[in-house]
Amino acid sequence: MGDEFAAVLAAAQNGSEEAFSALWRDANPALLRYLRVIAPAVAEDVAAETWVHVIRGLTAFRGDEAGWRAWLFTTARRRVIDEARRSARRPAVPLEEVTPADAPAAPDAADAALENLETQAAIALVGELPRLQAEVILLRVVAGLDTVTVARLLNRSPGAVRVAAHRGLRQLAEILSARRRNAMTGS
Amino acid sequence: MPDFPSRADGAVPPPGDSALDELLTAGQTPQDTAAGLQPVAAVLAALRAGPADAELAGQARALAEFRAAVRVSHRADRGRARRPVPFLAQLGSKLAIITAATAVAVTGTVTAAYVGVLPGPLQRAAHDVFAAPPAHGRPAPDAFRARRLHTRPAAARPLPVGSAGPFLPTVTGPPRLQHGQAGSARKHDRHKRHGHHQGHRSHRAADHGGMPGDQNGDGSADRSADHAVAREPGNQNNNRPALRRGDNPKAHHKGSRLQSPLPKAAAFPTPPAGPDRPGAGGR
Repeated sequence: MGDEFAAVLAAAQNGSEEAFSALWRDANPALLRYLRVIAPAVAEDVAAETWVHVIRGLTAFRGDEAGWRAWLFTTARRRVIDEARRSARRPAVPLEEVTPADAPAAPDAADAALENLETQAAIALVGELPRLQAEVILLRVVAGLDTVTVARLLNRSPGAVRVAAHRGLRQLAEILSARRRNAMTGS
Repeated sequence: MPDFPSRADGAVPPPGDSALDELLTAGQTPQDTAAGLQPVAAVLAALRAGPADAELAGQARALAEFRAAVRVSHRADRGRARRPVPFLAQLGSKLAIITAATAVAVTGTVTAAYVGVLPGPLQRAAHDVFAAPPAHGRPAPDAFRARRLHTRPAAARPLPVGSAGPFLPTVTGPPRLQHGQAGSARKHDRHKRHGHHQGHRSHRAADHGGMPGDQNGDGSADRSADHAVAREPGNQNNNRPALRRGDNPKAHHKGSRLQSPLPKAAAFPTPPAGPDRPGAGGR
């Protein structure tokens, strides 16, 4: 959002719906991509809950765009932890097996998946990494946070965050290379 | 699954740390990166891609939440603006605090004044203002008790020394000088000047009220304390004539703490030293 951020934030804090929509459109895709990796089953619900919390505290927020993003993703991460605790207390048991043929058809969702296939594939690929490495890469790349902010958010040292990011990227490269080799061998 | 670009031979050279750091910085395109990291750069570029429609589907819900929050906030602001600050309530609580603090301070000061532990000037001021015990040297720890006796009914109150009362104090035992009481004559004069000798006397009487021979039970038999005389409990010679004030007028002016108002030889013979009177023969 850049230089406009301060004005947009101030307008949103004064109740402007347009300003809030601009903030939401800018941050929600990244938030969803992050949540689809660390909480794939409840990503949409956690995202909605995160925005409820953010809206409640919006007027009290003070900071720049990096601070805003850090606050948003910190709130989301806490909601994921809460959700994990809640589901651990009350584990959900499926009532019956639902086959893909029985699942309700959603043409819009199918179109969106095709449209954004590369992003979905990339999220799935990052999701194969260990949790810390995947989270660090997403917070650095998707949320746009620097190493120090990510370290604070994850309660790690900046060095540990940097090492985790490097390991994740190396492992990502190895996974891609192995798939390429398998594809060549299979063909 | 999309086919991210990769090296044809599948070999991945180990990337350096600086190259990995560059990958994580925004704006890095796969073409800018080293050949071995191009597939990874393509994945990261896909992660940074623009929003899909599905990712913006929840905007209406978020806006509804925002609208509700703004409405609640405005309503709260309006309510806060309409409702005046409860000034009287704030003033009342402040007044209560100030009143309580003042009451504690005044009560403490008055109590200290009656006990006699205030510093000299303050004690004198208290004495002038509300008849607290006067300030004289070391404050008497039992001045408060004397004050209580002072407020007893008139019938039970001892008479002042100078008044022509129905009787004068009677010495019921052989008078003997007690250490620390000889200077009472000087104190007595000073108290008389203050006009509070009665309370002082009653305080003395209270101090000696429990002694044997106290016929009235209120310490009246020991009013002779002003004359610095006392009796010896074991002595049977209780028929001595009453000592009257002024028997030894010089004693009132000598001021020595160990000086008896009565001539030692004439008042009582020195008892023989015994095991029950340690050091008595040393005088």
